[in-house]
Amino acid sequence: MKRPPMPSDSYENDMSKLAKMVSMALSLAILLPMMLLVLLPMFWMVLTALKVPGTAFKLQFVPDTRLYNPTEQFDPLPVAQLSPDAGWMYLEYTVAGATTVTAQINNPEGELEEIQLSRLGTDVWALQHGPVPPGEYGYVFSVSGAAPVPDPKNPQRDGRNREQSMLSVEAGKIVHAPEPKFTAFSDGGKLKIEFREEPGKEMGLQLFEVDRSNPDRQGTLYSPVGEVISLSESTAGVFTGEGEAPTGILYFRLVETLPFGTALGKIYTLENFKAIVTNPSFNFARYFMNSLIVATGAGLLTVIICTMAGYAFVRVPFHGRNTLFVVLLSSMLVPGMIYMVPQFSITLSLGLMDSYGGMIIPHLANVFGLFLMKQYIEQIPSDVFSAAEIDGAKDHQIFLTIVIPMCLPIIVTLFLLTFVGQWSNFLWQLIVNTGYSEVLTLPVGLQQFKGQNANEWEKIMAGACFSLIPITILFLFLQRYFLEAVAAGSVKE
Amino acid sequence: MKESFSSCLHHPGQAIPSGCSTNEFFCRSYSEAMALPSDQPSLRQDLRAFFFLAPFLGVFLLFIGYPLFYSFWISLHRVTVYSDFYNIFGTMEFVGLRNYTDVASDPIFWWSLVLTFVYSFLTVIPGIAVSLLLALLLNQKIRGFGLLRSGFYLPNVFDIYVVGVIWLLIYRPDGGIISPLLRLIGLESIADQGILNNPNTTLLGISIAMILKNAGFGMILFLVSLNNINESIFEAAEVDGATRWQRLFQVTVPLLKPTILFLIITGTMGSLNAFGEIYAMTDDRGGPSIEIAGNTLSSARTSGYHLYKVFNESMYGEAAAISYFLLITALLLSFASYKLLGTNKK
Repeated sequence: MKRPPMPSDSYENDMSKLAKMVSMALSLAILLPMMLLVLLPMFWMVLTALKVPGTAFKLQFVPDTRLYNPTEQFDPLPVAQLSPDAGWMYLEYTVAGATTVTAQINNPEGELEEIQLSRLGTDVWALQHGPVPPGEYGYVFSVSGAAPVPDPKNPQRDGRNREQSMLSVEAGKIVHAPEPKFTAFSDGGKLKIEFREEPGKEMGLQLFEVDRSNPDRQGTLYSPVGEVISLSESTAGVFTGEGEAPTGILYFRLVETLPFGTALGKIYTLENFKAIVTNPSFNFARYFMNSLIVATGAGLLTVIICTMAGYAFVRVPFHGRNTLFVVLLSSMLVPGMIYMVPQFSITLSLGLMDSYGGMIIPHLANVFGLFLMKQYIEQIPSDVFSAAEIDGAKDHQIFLTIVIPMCLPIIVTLFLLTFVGQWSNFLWQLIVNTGYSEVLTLPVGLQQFKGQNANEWEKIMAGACFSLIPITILFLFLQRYFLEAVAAGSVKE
Repeated sequence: MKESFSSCLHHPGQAIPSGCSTNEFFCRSYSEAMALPSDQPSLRQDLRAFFFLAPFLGVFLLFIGYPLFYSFWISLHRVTVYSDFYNIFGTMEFVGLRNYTDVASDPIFWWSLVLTFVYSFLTVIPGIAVSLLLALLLNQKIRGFGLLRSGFYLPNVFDIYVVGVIWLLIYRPDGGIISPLLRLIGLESIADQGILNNPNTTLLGISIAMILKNAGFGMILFLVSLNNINESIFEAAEVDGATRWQRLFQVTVPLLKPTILFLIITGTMGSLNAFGEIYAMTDDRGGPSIEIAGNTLSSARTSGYHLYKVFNESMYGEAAAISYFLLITALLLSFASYKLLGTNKK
């Protein structure tokens, strides 16, 4: 049938190859976003379950290696601190354009002492005072000559106002010294910020200018001083800002560069899983075992009784065989919700509430399963049965040595279908388990957990993982059987 | 072709096939076949069958056959004593057809049926469209597409309640992903309220979640049907000068009619049975309230959920009566879809 190659063939081939690639690219352009959408709940569940408790609603998924410390205010701020030698008081005040800065110190005996601070830098005034006996000291700064610097957050404050604070001293050690992490001052027209940090940390600095028209906003980045430096053994890092030192209020924050692992740990954690497994009132490990028992039990028993019945329908010509089969099939037309009340009543009167049996037995008569098995057994050549019958094999021998081995693929399919169906049978498991049940399964356990911990979404999602992840793994390994089952189901139409 | 030998067994009076005389095995089998149990039903066969059928029929009769009739008995009674939970059905009081008349005059029940129709309209047709789109796109022999097929099918094996709870989080106005997207396209008010909290969009939100969950099922069915369509039909259409779209709507879709019918029937049944998703994604009332003709009704209380709520209030008689209303609805719907779409059996 082969014809000799024509010159146009290779051109056509190229064209069809191109057309194929274009159609594939177009298909993928639709399929991949669809896939993302279809699997969105799965991704969302896993990501939320891994989040640090309390951050479920934060839309952050990529770890940020930069840790932003709280924004600090560089303000003509009174800084009072103790000098490294215990008992010495160090007073510092930063204000632009002041002519004198005075500190009034109120010692524990109630005596008032007034001391002038000496100029340290352009805007920085400081004094080392002491040594002072232990006790509580109050101090007040008075500034003269400074231009009023309005504070956008606190309009009553201007540069002239007196700043009051307290610090306390104990013999030989600091009791309640407001030791600032940051000391910011301008030095020779340049902004200098000193901070104390543990050595070895990678730090950066971000500066913000105040947007005076909008006091609530932090404003734009003032200056890109945020270069990251590595601290040596010394305990303090010093940044020098670009440009002029601000006369107004400046906001800045330290940016710490974290190792990736640490940054990951800031937003993701396994704590939620640990919490729900060790939770004494909602034990998801137990729920998992219960779900496993119910699903496996239902799967095994369904397979056994459906295979037995299927064998009878195919190989045993009993009275009313066809009628019975039609009756069984027509029961599939009835919506499942209809059985809820009577099945509940029967389960109740059989004493099967809060038991594995109550969850397993009512769904064993799976007509669709019977249909699958019957169809499959019909395909076994009857020679095989005849040969065995001639050799005098009894029914149970034929069943065990021929039917089961030859039906293994469909048995696996039916088992998996039932397993998944019962693993996910929320309504019935909700109905047959009372509040005192010891055999709660995963979905019902999750429902009860959600009822009492409605806001702990990270833990709720961790519980959801217990239900969805095992079934996903099972599906990925045995997907051939699942898809076969769907295909088999469509044949009946 | 298959079972040429067994055909001998089926008709014992028939002449020995000519091949048998030369084949020792067949001849031996045939002569012994006469002594084997015949294909005619007999008491002995019934006994044989009974052993194998008993477990299945036992469970079937107890939990499927009997309940259909027992449910009718329940529907004629009403719960009287609430104290003894384990004997609640034993102490019911006969009320005749009162449950039926009560249900028939209950606006909440009829509204739940309306919502069920809305819900099935929102899920079935778009669901089939999505499944068909996926199947048509995936019906190419390209490496890696098998993985995509599995990925689309995967949500089908998930627990509907658990998936519903996840969507509840996704739809949340604070912390969900849908609201920020809605803000992007300017639907601020819905975004701030949350899709599930707005009575006009509650069912829509649930439907979208369920369409995405179930799309893979229809997709696999369509793929199987597409595989069974003979290539030559398309070639013939192509020769006749049919465009791509004409081929799709005039050749492919009509050939997929049985699958579409099947999906419509199972989808409608699914809407009637809908419970887990409503339970997970709404509050205790079945969605935010709306006022219709002076009645305060819930925006997502479909029939299955309504039945559960009535059941959950221990109103078992009423619930059983509702069940029969739903059964009739289901049978009518199946029959109607079959009449409308399923005329020619392929």
